[in-house]
This record gives sequence, structure tokens and C-alpha cells, in this order.
Amino acid sequence: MPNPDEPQGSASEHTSAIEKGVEQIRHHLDKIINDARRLVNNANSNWFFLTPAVKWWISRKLREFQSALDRILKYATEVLAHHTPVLSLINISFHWLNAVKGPVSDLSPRIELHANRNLAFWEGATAGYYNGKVIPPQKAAVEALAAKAGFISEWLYSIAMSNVKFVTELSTMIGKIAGEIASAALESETVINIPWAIDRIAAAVGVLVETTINTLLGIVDRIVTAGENVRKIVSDRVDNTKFPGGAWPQSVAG
Amino acid sequence: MTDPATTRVITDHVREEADKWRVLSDDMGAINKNPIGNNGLELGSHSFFLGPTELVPQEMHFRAYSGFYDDVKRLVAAAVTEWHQLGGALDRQADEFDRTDQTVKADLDKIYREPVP
Repeated sequence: MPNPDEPQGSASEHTSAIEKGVEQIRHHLDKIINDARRLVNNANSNWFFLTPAVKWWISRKLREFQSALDRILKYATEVLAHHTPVLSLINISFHWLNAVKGPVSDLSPRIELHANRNLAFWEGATAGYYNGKVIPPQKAAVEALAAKAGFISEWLYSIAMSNVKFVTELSTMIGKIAGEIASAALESETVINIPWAIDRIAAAVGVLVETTINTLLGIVDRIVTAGENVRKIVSDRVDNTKFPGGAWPQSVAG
Repeated sequence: MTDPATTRVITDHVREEADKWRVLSDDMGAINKNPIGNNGLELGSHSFFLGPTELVPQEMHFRAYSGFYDDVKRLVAAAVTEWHQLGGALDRQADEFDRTDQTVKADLDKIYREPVP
């Protein structure tokens, strides 16, 4: 019974989504820095031709542009610096599923099944005790353990997927911003276009950054909530009564 | 008719059953060896978010996860031990059956423990 919340696809598919996003962010950042410099240089080198009112207005627009850009560049540089540990998160969410939940679940039917079916001829109090009081709690504990592994796998995976979404969203938006800046830089090569190019880029980047950050903060919210809810989710999802006193059920004296 | 307090057994099958638990113990032992007990599932306090660190209090995720992982480590190691001991208990049971010519007045307390409800 595959669970819709459990890790889907392969770990490498998701780790490469992060790596690809990071690569694109890096690529766009280089472009943004070059094109923004070109734009500012064009404005500066033609400063002489501009009237004081236009100069004042351009400076103001450039400051707006830069502060919007700085907000999103902070996100980008943080992602470039911090993405590696999240790759482990993805891999480990799959390990809980494939290297723990799967093999542990496979043990469950073997606990119940007698090694030799003729053991059914074993009768009396010892047999009754063994079949009624020894096997069931062991089997129940194994199933609860598999459920625990499955739960934590899903929990990590949901956080991992929010991270993938975060990077993908950020890299798409940074790509759009880079495109806007590139065309503004190109327009600014013609002196007469400079005020218009700067006006347009300040507005466009402002809007893009605002939208992007709102989207990103929505994703961040889900990650924070996952952290806050974990204890409650564990108790809803895992039957801890199968572990008396929090321990593995003990059936053997001594 | 057998007296309910006595047990008719084929001791070989009880020994096979003992081996079953030792094999189960070994198989759980393999999971314990890798990835449970060797910290193969360990995550750091920065593994939960790749964006600006101040946005997500990852210490919360880290502590919840580490506590959970420690619990699982403890349970898995205990299962390995318990199943190995169950193998031994069944062997002792078979020995008792042999000693008493396969019919024995059950002395459960000597071998098993009542499960905690």
C-alpha cells in the first residue's frame, strides 16, 4: 500500500533539481551583476547630458532598483551557501523508506509464520503462551516500528520538497529578473533611453522581488509548521502503545 | 486427550523456531548496523532549510528529528537483543521437553515473561 505522502521518484532526481536550481541561480547572478553594472555605468557616463531634475530622479530610481535587487540577492547568496546539507535531507528521507521501512515491514510476516508448519502440533500452555503472548506483541512492535520509519520518511520528504520548491521558485524568478535587467542594460546603450530604461527596471524588479519573496515566505511557512507539528503528527500516526513504557516488548525472562 | 497443563511437542520444530528468531535477529541486526546504528540517518542542524537561516528555526526540526532517531535506535537495538534471547528461550524450552521425554508440565515463568500491557 504505497502512501501518497511517501517519497516519490528517486532521491537523485530531487537532489539534481536542487543542484540545477542552484546552478541557474549562480548563472543568473553573474548576469545580473554584469548587466546591472553596465546599466549604472551607462547612466553615469551620460550623467553630463542629463538635467538636474532627471539626475535626481534617476538616482532615486536606481536606489529603488538596488534595494529591491539586494533583497532577492540575499536569498540567492544564502541558497548558494547553504544548499548542500539539504541534499542529505533528501537522501535520508529515501533511506528511511527503502533501508528501514521496507526491510522492517518484510520482517513482520516472518514473525508470525512458524519456521515449520508442524509446530502447529505443539499444544498446551507453553504453545498457547508462545502463540498468544509472545508472537503478537513482537509482530505489533515491528509493524509500529515500520510505521515510525514511514512517518519520518514522509516528514523529511515534505520538508525536502518545500526546499526544492523554494530553489526552483527562486531560480525562475531570478531568471526573469536577469532578463529584465539585461534588456534594460541594452536599452541604456542609447542615451535617450536611459531614464526610461531605469524607470522601467526599477518598477519591474520591485514587483518581481515582492512577488517572489511572498511566494518564498509561503514555502518557508510550511517548513516552519512541519517543525512545530512534528510531535503531534508522531503521536497521531504511530501507535506507541506497541512499545510498553517506550521500550521494545520483552517476552523473555532474565 | 492431553492434560492442558502438559505439552506435546516435536522438539525439533521448537528448535527450528528458535533458529527463526536468531535469523530475524540477524536481519534486524543488519538494519541496525546500517543505516540505523551507524548514524547513517543523522542530519545536522542546517539540513532542513537552504534559504536565509533566520527564516526557519531549524534547531526545532533538528531536536525533534534527533530525538526521534535516538528512539528508533534504541528500539531497533532492543529488538535485535530480544529476538536473540527468544531463540535461546525456545532452545531451553526444547531442552526441557527432551529432558522430560517431550511431555512437560509447563513452567512458563522460567522461560517467558508476562508482557507488560
